[in-house]
Amino acid sequence: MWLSLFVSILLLATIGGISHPSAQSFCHAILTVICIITGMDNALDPEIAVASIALSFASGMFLSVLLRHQSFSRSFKELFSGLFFIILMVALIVYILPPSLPRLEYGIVLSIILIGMVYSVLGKTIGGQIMGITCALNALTLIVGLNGQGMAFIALLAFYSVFLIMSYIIVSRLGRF
Amino acid sequence: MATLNDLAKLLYWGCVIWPLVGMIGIFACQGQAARARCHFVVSIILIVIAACSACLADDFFVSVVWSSDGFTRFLRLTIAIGAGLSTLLLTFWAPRNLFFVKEDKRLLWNLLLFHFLVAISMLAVAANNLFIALLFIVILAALLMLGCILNQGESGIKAGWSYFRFVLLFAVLALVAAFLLASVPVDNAPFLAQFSSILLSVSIVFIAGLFPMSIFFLGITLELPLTLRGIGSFIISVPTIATFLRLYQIPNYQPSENLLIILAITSVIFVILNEQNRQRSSLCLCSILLISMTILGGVFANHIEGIYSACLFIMALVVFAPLGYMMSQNQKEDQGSCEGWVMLALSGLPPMGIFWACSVLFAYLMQIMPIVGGIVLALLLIRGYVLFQKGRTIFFTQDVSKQEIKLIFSIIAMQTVLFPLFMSSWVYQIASEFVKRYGGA
Repeated sequence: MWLSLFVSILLLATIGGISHPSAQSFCHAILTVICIITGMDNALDPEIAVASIALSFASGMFLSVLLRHQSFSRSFKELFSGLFFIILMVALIVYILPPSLPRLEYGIVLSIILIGMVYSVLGKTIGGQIMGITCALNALTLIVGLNGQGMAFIALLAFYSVFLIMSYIIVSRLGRF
Repeated sequence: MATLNDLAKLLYWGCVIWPLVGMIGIFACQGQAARARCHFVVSIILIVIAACSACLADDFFVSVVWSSDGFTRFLRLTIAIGAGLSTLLLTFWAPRNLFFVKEDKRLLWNLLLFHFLVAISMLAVAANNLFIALLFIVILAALLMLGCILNQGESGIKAGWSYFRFVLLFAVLALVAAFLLASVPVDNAPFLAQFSSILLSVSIVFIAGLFPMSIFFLGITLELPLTLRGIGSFIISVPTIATFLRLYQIPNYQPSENLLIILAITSVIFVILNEQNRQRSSLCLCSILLISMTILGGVFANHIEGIYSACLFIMALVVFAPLGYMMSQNQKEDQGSCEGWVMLALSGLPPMGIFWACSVLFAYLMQIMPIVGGIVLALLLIRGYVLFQKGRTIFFTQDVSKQEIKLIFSIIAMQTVLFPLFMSSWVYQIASEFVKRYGGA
């Protein structure tokens, strides 16, 4: 129940956004950490869950510092497209998954990824685009943290590293937006 | 026997280590001329190493993560040939681009990036694990973005960033779909396997370059510096197509053939509509056309004809994609007639170019899905008509003895005659092993 609640708050934070990507990055990272903690009892590998917590927190802090001069606002088009994708994805997942599984959480996590993709596509500012990808990656961290085994975390860490390096390069090249 | 096994392993890892060694060699050279020569030598020797690795048919086991089957060796050989061809064209077709007036460093970084891209793609085609394969594909996209940044134009940086973003996002979607497929029990969820499979396969074919990602793929390839443009046209697509073909090894994977066929046909239509754009050379779109045809063959990768035609199209992709991008630079006087011969090779008409690959695919499609076969055939005929109307196909007006036309002829002849002559039985064997391993008929 607590996991559902915090995943829903994570979803709201993804859709609503905050004008400053720096603050949004921090909030999103904290919420992701809380989601993993609430779901830790059922995690497949507790070590991976702890490592995912550390990864999400560290990347959130890095992006908060990197995007401190950026700002953006969400348009109505983006907000409505986000809402549309939530309804679509949650309905689809609840229909497809068997009743024994946490259907609502899977649906919400998938919608966060889709919304992140949509916001990254529609975002006109570098900050908005980076935050869209960050939302999707945080949702993936949630999945890996609770369901990952073996090399999954190493691969996730590598994904994050590549993304953070390229974000740093693009922010330093294209400057303020 | 043990010696042969060791030699096979040495050559297997040599395909990855040699480009890295080449980077050190290029870095150590002084002056642009020396670097250009070193680059040429490294690229040619890589073809030799990949060919020797392919010839050693000893089936050794590397690890669970890295596969060493015939398909991997074939893909590595094609990448080495494509990289070598790109170097050859750069040296003989557009040599001015190997020499910058003032900035020696730019050539250095471009050449280092070239070989790093080749090394990473050699690793990517060998990865037997979806996570690791997608990770290498994302790294390749990041390196291409770096290539655009090295070119130093703002439009290039934005194009590179857009492309990297999309590749990363589709990779994340593919990973989540793989998690759903692998981690979730499917006993009482009849649609789960199908839904996850659709999500997984569609994400991967988008990364390969099908519409609408083909717009961003085209955007980034046109913004890359010329040293990287030739390989930029296939260096992500070949490992992504390999990952797509290997999806059959994932348990419970159920591809949605109809949706993938629709996406491939949409990409072909996109190519036809854009080839009418007189501002842009038709040659730049040939990589998208070949990727679409490869995916169309790859949809049936659990049957011999499907994987066989996909391999033939991959061979055409690594030859014609660098050719197309290099020739779109308008470097030479007889550009029109050279373009004409390349477009004829890519039209599917006998006996040149992609005719053999197209005939295998169409023969199979006419057997199992005659409507789809008919639609694709009609699209290729429409495309041929559009190109003739556009007036770029001038074949017989120019002197065929000129050096540039000889170079183009020899490349087309290599792909049309030499490859099928020497490699068709090997590719058929690879296709049989692939189908035997991953199921199907």
